[in-house]
Amino acid sequence: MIKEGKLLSNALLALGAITFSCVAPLSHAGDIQGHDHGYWYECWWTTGSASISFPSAGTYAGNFQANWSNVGDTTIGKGWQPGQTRTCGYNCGSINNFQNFGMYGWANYPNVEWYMTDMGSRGGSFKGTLNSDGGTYNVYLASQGGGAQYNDARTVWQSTGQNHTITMANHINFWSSHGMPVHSWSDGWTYAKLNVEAWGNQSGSCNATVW
Amino acid sequence: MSRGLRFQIILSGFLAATVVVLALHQSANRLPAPDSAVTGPGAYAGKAGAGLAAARATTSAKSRTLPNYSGIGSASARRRSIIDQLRAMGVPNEVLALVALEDFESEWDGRFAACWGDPASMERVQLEKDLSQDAAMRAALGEKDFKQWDTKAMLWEAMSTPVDVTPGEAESIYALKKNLQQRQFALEQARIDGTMDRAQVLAAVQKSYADYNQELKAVLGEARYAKSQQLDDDFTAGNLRYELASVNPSDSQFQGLFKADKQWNTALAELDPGSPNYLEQFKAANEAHDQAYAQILGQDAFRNLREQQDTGYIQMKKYENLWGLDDGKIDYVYDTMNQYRKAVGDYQLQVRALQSQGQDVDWSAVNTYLQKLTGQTQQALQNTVGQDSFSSLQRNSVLRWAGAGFRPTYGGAPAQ
Repeated sequence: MIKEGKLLSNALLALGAITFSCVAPLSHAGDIQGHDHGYWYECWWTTGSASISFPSAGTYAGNFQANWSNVGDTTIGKGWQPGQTRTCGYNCGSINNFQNFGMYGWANYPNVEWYMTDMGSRGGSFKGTLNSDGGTYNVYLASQGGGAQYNDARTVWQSTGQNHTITMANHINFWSSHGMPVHSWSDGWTYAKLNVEAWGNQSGSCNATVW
Repeated sequence: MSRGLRFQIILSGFLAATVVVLALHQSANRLPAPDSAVTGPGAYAGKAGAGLAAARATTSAKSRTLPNYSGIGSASARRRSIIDQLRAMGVPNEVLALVALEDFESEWDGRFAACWGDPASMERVQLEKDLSQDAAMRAALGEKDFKQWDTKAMLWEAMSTPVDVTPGEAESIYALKKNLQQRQFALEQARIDGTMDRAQVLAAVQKSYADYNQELKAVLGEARYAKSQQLDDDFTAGNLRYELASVNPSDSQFQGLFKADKQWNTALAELDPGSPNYLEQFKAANEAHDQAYAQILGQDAFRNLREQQDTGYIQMKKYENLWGLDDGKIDYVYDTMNQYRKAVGDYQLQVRALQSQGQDVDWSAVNTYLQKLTGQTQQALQNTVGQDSFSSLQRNSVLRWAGAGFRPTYGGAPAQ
């Protein structure tokens, strides 16, 4: 059992410069997650609106339909929680008005937000290139708000269509060889999902299937 | 291989495949579906079947110029026949491989179609396909051409920057890559069969890659290994110079920073992720690195560097007027978010410590606490920068909260 009060006090000390008042939830922000046809899913967004549905999951278990409107930032996708190091297969039937698409997740100890992007990119400090699954990825290390972010972006975007793969272990091995550790792949606090991200008041949609 | 050459090869492959597919498709449209006696047991009854029918039709129409496929009863034999004919027409091996691979993928579409609705079956079919790919490609191309094509692909994956290797070394690297591949397949099989649990598989994957890295280093030697993995001084110094452009260090400062980076990378590489002290050691290595940087550059320049590496900070400076910010508010947001992340990280450390001591963790309380911490930080930011500016920061993803990264939801039933 966590001693919440003590931990909270410690954290408040660390945040001593901040004046706290009552907790005020953000309007329009949300985080929906659950399980569908054997997969975990999550739809997270800041402002605007976003949704995930599974119109074809009865036939294609890993299928999802993501929609977003006038969104501040959103990450929507389907995959596995806890995260797994696996060779992910996916089809992407349609996608528009997005920033990046590919495998995405978080790891803890240390905090890492990671991207294995097949379409789009995020950028950061260039660390090198990785050849995997028939393509070359530029690997970037970025920080945002004090957290590390590993951004792998395929130099030639993968097309929409069938039977693409992302061999996660190849990416993780590159990171660990280049001072970008992901410690907790066996830890329950991580997830990995086939994900679409959009921000900047965009509205769009994506239909994809993971396995 | 240059990107241009690779592109040419892929384009050629695509064109060749398109010609084949179009020919088959057009012919298939003219014929009824093939009967099962012709396709035979085990043959793919979808695209390959159509291809077989098409091939039969094409044969009758243009028997002097196109392949004769009559009597070919399996997808593998049909594929081999197509490849042989294309080879006889002078199509290069790289293109033949792409055509064979595309046909192999099509063959498996039918298998996948039968189990799309069942994730467990999908996993098994995917593994079965992965396991059979080499044999199928070998059968299509022949041993010699398969080996040539596969070796090139494996060496390309093995080296981010190509280095010169002898034929013997190339053979060794190929063997290492294939061995790694087989180990991954075996671990995937174990995961699917339930003979290893998730944590065991993950640990084994990490170990197999670590072993592979060491074995590759043994084949290439330190210098060529470092170059091939873009870990050599030339490459890393080039990256560092680019990163440090905003602080314009002197030569001596650069040398000091480069040395600090090397020490940091060495320290990180020596850490054992399985060690109970891993996090403390990781934190210590990072702090030592930051201290070295601050000492060499001075506190102000170091802070400036860190700010310039922070995508949120860069965005805030760029849109300062548009978002109603000023330098003071930007600094406040930047500092607050760093403190927030640090507080979350420290909290994680404490939870981790409790876990490692075998204590039960109340995940609901953990979640509640993290939500509270996030909410309070958001409120503090709103109070200081104002609601409009805060909304702009939120909308543009400058403020990224740890929430999405903290998912201790063991209560669910994660798919395995």
